[in-house]
Amino acid sequence: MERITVNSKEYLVGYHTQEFRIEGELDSPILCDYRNAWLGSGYYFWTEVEFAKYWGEDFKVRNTGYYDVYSAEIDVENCLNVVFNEQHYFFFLRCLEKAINYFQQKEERTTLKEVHEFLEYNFWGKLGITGILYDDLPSNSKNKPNRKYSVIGYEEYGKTKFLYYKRRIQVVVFSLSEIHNFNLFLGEQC
Amino acid sequence: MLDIEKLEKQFDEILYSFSKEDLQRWLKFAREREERQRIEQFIKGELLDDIRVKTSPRNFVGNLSIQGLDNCSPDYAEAA
Repeated sequence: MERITVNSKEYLVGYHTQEFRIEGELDSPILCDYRNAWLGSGYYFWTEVEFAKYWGEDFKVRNTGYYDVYSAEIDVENCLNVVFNEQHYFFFLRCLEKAINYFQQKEERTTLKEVHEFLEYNFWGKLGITGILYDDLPSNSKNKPNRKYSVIGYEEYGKTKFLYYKRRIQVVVFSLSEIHNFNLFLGEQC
Repeated sequence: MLDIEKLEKQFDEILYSFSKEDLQRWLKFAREREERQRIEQFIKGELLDDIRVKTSPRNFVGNLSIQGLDNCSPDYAEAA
C-alpha cells in the first residue's frame, strides 16, 4: 500500500477501475450503487494497482474492450482499518454481529448485504466514520494465467487448487470530500 | 483518530433505539431501492449483457417480471 504526505497530512493512494469512456476521462469516481455495493453505497478503490488491473481485465471491458485505472489520494484518518488494525477489526465485527443478532431478536430475516447497507446508512456517518478498509477473498474467476503474484495453482488428489496468498484490499469511502487528486493513471488497458 | 470505545457506546445507543417496526420499515426501503435500481439499469440497457438467469420472488415487481437480470458479480464492488 502506498501512502503519500501532502502538507504534513498522510493520504492513502487508491485505484479505481472503470470501463474506458470514448467521451473522455472521469473527473471523479463513480458511486457504487446499492445493488452492487457490498459495504454500502460509496466510492470503491483498490489499494494496489495489480488488483485494479485484474478487475478491469475481468469485469470492465464489456462494451469497448478497454478499461481505465484512476488513482486518487484518500484521507483515511477516520476510516476503519479492519485489515491491519486489531481494535478496528474487532469493533467492526462486533457491530456487524450485534446488528445481525438484533434483527434476529426482532424476528426479521435479512441478508449480510442488507446488514452492511443498514450499517452504512444508519451508523457510519453518524459515528464520524468516513470509510472502511477491508480485504475480501480474492479470486481468479476467469482463470487468467498471468496472476502469479497473487495466486499459486497446485495439484492435490488430481485436482487443481489455488492458494491466494496476497490480500486483496479495498477501501470504500462514503463521501467525495475524502478523495483528492483523482486522475487517470492507466488509460485504455486491455 | 477514531475513539473506538466512545463509538461503540454510540453504536449501541443507535442500534437499540430501533424498534421492530423501524427495522421492518428500513428493510422495505432498502429492498424497494434495490429493485428500483435494477429497473433503472434495465431501462438504461446496462443489464443486457452477460445475463445469468436466476429465479426468485424478488425478481418480480408488480406484474413485471425482471427474471434473468441478476448479473451481480460475486466479486462485489462494481465500481472498484
